[in-house]
Amino acid sequence: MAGGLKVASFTVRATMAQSVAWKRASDAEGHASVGTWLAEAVDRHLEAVARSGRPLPLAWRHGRFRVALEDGEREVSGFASPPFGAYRGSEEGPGPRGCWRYSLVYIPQRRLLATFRTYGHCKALASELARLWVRWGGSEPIEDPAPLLQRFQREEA
Amino acid sequence: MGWDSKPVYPVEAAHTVSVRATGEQRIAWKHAARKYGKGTAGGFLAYAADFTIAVLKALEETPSWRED
Repeated sequence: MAGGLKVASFTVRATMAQSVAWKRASDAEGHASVGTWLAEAVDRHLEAVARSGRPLPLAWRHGRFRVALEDGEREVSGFASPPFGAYRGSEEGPGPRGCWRYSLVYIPQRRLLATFRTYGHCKALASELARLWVRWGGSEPIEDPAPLLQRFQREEA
Repeated sequence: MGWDSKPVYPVEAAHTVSVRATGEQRIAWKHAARKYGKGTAGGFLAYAADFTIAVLKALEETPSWRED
């Protein structure tokens, strides 16, 4: 930020897990503080949304699917929009209402992709990742996912 | 809190991070917070940060997408 510019300050509250993850990402990308990394991540996110248009509106329905958890594979109940599934809980297993843990699963591999605080976050990530499937006519893509990754990274140029 | 409102942050969110923004960023972030229903710009910042990390992590941990 150039000196002399009028600036505003925001305070972001975070859990311990978020603090650790943000600090790790901040360090990895060479930022002097988590705050500057956060500002860049948000701008990057907004640019990606603006460039890519609206997320693909996946159709979700109640369903059961299998997922590999810490203590083994099991069937869970949640929402499914193949090839993605989402359920309330984490890698430890299904959680109770109000647990603030919702996980996105790549059903063909039964792999847990990410755990968020809401179903909405799971569905948003699935919509982003679904673009790869669309480009390959519904088949599992063999292309490098770099374009998706790049939309969330600062343009090197 | 009304029937339909949800807390922006989980109760265990005890840490705080200060983020400085230009006037342009302030407007864009506040607009995005309303659009995403996050209540506050800080809530949206936390959401966007988590989302960015989740995308990067998912891509790193799904090597099969790179295989022929």
